[in-house]
This record gives sequence, structure tokens and C-alpha cells, in this order.
Amino acid sequence: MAIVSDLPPEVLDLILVRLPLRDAARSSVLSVAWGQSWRQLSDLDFTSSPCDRAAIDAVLLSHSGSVRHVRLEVTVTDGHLPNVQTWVDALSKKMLQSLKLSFNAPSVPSVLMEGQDTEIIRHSVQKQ
Amino acid sequence: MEVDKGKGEAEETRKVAEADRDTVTLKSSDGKLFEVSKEAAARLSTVLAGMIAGGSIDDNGTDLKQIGSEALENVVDYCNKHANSIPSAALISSSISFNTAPFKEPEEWERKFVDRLSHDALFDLVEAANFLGMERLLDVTCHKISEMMKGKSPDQIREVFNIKNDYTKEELEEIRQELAWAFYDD
Repeated sequence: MAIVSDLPPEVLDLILVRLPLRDAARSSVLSVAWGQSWRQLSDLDFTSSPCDRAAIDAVLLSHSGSVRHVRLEVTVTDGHLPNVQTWVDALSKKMLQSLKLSFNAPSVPSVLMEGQDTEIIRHSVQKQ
Repeated sequence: MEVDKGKGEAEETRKVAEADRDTVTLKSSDGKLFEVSKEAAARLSTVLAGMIAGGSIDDNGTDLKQIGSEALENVVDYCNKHANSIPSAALISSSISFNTAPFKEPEEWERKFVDRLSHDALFDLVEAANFLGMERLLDVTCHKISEMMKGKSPDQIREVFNIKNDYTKEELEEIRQELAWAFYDD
């Protein structure tokens, strides 16, 4: 009988990238194999689940593989912009193909990570 | 196909041989034979495309020792259905774009195709699709599995998918702390 634990890592990744980030994270407690797949997830869409800054920090810190696509919404609260540069630095070591950053502030901070394999889509969203 | 009168036997044989080449015969690990559209097999499976191009297809049944008859029947069924289906405009235009979705949504008939499968059959089909390099079938089956996981607790998922928890208690506690944001309302 086939059990899902036996699925190869590349297939676990195909399953996990289709889940909201929170569900994908929760799958890491299922078994060691699922935990490894979570830490090597190839697409990180932080807009698919509510994630605070601490969550983004934790995900990026524990991630141990390369990442193809990242989607991040940066929210300015109480006039404080989170340290986007730290996130971008962490991601810059990960063979990134696309990074989509959106900001809820009228001005976009100068996040720098233009590279051969990286396409940054920068746009600012008007403050509501 | 109607054969023109007055043509020789050799011509008839040649036409039959030509017709034969529209399909390939695949043999499961338990020795059952399945016919599949050659065009669809080559289009949907990188491994079968390679075998067809490389001439390593056996007319008496190409051995696929890693795939059982139930999974192979589903693979063949999927290929033949695909050969007969008209791709929707959505499928044709859905180039991979992270702005919309990083993967293609299954077609209606593809959803129905995987919905009728038992869990075991579904997982066997995922493994077969992976082995044969069938990107589209992998998309469809993995989409189904992710749908089955959404909103379930880890315990429920382990039960449904028969996943053995091989963590120590300490390791589990460590992960839960690290991922507190994903577990805070449990």
C-alpha cells in the first residue's frame, strides 16, 4: 500500500507550494520528511496566510534550500518600516528567480538586490 | 479504415502497420498490457517521449516494472482522455506566472478524474506520474492532495494519509516553538 510519506521530496514540494503558507508550515510536524520539505519549500508566498514580521523572520531563518519565487507584502505600522533589507539579504543567497514586494506606503524604500537571476517587481500601494 | 480495392496485400499490411504505430503498448509490473495513444504519451510524459524517440518501445509491451496495473491503467486512461479533450482557452493561455498562480489549475474533467480515486490509487498515481515525468498529471494529483490537506490538523492529516510520525517528542516541541506563528490558535 502506498503511503504519502514515501513520496519523493520533489513531489512533497509540489504539494506544499499549493498550500497557504501557514498550512505548509504546519505540515512540518507530520514527519521528518515533511519537515525537511517545508524547510526547502521552493515558493514562499507570505501573502497566502497572515504572517507578522516575527513569522517572516522565523521562516527565512529556518529555510535551508533555494527559493524560486517569493511574494511579500510589507506593511508599515505606526510609521515603522520593517527591516526589509535583512529579508532581502537572506533571500539573496537562495537562487531567487522572482521577488514580488509590495508596500502599503507611499514611498518605496531602496531595496537593492538586482542580479542576473532576480527580477524584482517593486510597486507601492497607496495608503488606505 | 477501408482499404482501396485492387491494391496489393503488401500495401494492406503496410497500412495496418502504420495504424498500429498510433498507439504504444505498456506493460505493468504485474504483467498486464495497456494501449495508449502514442501522440498523447509523447506529449504528456517526458520518459515515454524519450523511449518513443529512442526506439526503445517494445511492440509486445514496454516493461514499466515500477508501476502496478491499477496505476498504469489510470495513467493510460488519463493520456487517452487528454488525447480526446479540447484544451480550454484558460489552459492554453496559462503560461506560468507568479502574478496569477505559479501553476495551472486542473480542468473540470481532470478534477473528476482524480476525485473518483481512492487514497491509495491517488498516491500510486502520483508516484507513477513522477516516475514517467508527467508534469501535468503531477500538477493535477498534487493539487488534489493539497486540497485534502487544507484546514486539517496534523493528526487528521496523519490519519487520512497514513503518515508515521518519526519525530521524538523533543524534536516536535522544538518545531512547534519555531513555528509558533502557524500554531498559535491550536
